[in-house]
Amino acid sequence: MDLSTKKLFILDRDGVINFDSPDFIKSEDEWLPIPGSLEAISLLNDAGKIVAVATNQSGIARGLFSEDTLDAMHRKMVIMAHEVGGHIDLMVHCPHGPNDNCACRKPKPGLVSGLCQHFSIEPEDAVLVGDSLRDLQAATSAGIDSVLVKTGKGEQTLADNDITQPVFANLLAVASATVPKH
Amino acid sequence: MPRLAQDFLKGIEKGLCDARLFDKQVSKIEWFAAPRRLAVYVSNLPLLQPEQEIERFGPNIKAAYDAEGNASKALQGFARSCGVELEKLSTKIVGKDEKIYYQATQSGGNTIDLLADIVTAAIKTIQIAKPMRWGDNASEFIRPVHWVLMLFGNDIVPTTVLGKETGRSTYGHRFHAPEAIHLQHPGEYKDSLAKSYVMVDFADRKKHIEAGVVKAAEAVNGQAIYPAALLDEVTAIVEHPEVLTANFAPAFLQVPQEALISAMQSHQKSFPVFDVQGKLLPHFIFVANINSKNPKRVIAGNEKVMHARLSDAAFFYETDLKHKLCDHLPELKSVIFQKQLGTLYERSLRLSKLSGLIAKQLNADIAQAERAGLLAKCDLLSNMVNEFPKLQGIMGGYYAKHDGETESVCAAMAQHYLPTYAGDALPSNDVATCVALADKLDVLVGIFSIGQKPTGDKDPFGLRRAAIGVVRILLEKQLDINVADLINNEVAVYGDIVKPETGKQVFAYILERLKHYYFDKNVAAKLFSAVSEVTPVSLVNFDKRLQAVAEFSKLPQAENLAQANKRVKNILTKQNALDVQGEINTTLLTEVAEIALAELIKKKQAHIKPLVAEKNYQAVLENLDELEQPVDQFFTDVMVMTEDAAVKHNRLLLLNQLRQLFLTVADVSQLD
Repeated sequence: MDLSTKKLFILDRDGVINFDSPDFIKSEDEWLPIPGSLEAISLLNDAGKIVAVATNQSGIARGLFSEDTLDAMHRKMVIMAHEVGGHIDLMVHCPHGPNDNCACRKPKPGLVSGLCQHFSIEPEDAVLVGDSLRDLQAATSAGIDSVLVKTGKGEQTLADNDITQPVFANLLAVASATVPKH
Repeated sequence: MPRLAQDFLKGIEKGLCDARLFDKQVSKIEWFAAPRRLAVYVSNLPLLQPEQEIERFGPNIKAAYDAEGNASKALQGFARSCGVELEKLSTKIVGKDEKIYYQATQSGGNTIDLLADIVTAAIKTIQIAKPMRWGDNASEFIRPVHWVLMLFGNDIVPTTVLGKETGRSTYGHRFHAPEAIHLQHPGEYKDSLAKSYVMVDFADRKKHIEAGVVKAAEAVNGQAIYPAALLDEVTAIVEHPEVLTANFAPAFLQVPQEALISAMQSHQKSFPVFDVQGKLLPHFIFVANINSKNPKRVIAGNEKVMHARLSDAAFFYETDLKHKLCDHLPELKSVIFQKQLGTLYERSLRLSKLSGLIAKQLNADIAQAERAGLLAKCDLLSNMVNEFPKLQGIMGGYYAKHDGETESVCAAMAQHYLPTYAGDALPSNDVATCVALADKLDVLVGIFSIGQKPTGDKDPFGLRRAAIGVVRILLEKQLDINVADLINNEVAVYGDIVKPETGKQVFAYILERLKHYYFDKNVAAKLFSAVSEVTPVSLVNFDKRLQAVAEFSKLPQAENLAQANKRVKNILTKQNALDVQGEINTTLLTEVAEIALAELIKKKQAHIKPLVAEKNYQAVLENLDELEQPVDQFFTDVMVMTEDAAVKHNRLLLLNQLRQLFLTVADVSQLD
């Protein structure tokens, strides 16, 4: 897979852009970016890539936080990304719980396919960056390539599964591999 | 409650899968939940873990021995990590390399020995919003734990869970069958509890209650309203549901029915009953947790409590009616809206002003809009809204009517919070629409100006909801007004406390919501980008352009024209903007293709002018289709960046004019 030819980068949020917590990220105060991740988004923007975020947020279905709170977190993310010159073209989330049988919750392909369609991007021109098996599975079901990052649950995912996808240290490493240095 | 049990089930299923004990083809897994119990039942588990082939690769053979043939540190380390002597290791070819190889068959453990850890781990995966602690116990759970039953076949799985030793006992209904039930085998769980007056399957219980409620309502010639959340809540608080019908004094029907419904639903967990016209009937349906020998007494008891609740509601209503809504205005001065943004009184003044300004733009009644804006928050100080916060607005509508306010003002009181959720209704008249927009813009501008950071970990002001509300009201009511002006009006109404750049941030935020609005409607991103490049300030206008671009993109000429626009855009962005302004010098046009293009552009400029003025963007783009061939010809025949500076400049002017034609609608280069 040649990352530099990809046009659409679909990023998982928790564990890829920000530090993850087993107890969910429930508030904007708990939302802390992984160093370099926002810069990575900016690098991808500068290379003309479309950057989208697709994230499972079952905490909404579980009543741990509201759509409004999620939006406050995303505003924080947008502002912090702006500060390093980055922007996210679209953020989509699945608000459902594991037993709601929705079509969007990863490993289902709904969110990922929806983004490809929305941006009129052929599956071969998109790539997903995730830290968990279900991210990679969602990508595979949607027919797009994916890469694993070791941040978040990445190390664990790598240890527990037979990962055939390329593995990177973090999102910044993915961006650096995509955008050759001058 | 179902979520807790489902988390528990998932946790156990994962634990069993990881231990290679669970096979979907063989075992069935299900959950149970009732007020005093959470349970997971798994059938057909194997007694032993299957044997496991272990295969590990060590160092390359070249690195495994030194020159003398002694085992290297790497090899010794590998043997140690496998827990075997060197002679147990062999080698295996992997690709081009030969590597040290270890293979063994690990016998499986006894299932019963593994279950305690699996269950303990599964309990930790249950997400609990507010866990409780009890006694001097270190563990925490949704409620204190009184007993733990854990059986594998006929055997107790011996362990301690959440501070309790496991056993084979459970307990039946608190009153009907309080004594311990000793299970021989997990398969007896559901039936034994059923005999002890516990319907332990949540879905069964819910179905039973729903059917009972429907039947009970029919028996009094009515229809029950049971929101899914209330049905779930009731299901979660009874183990042995008995659906009963009771009455309340018809005199209470004088009180606004929303208040009675709130009292019944939120305080008494009862279901109101309506006639076919949607009017409340003097009955209510409730679910008892007991099979009484004398249901009349249970009903009488509930009627007594309900009477007290409804009397409270009636008292609040009557007390509230003693004041006019506007009497509350001075009291609003002592209620803080937001620390930096002042009191609710100041907010009311802003709402009044802005509602009036919006009314002017919408040709609505300015005086009524100002009045409605001023009174909109007064009901927050009424007794009824204090008791039932969800009735905010609705009560305002009733009280305004009682005060003799106009119908529009009353509607505005009741509807200015709309829409409150996805798919909710919009305000029904134009005065209500003005106040609804003002309410949302006041929140957006205010909160953005103080750095968008609400206190605590919540977003109590619901900026997202406010922005969606603005988008939906403007688009779905087709209000073709300048949103940027609207926001700037509000910025001005706030005065010095709001930073001037706030207006831009709010506008950008609303556009971001608009983007999601179109995403949800399956509108392609490139259509949105094409239009947002020309930043229309009215959302209705934005939508008109977007529909025009959508139609344009279906035309056969669209692809070429989009490409040409992109090419032109790329050429022009490398130029200084001032260099491409000015009149074309026709005498410098020499090539046939550029003369033809220049003439056509001139013709088109005249053609589209009236169409742009009447905002018929689709006609504009259809009209510009004719440019496809001439533009194509131009790029084939004409060299833009020629040596002759004057000619080059003239050609750049021409391209800029071409581009400006399309930009009257959108940046179609985005379609490429």
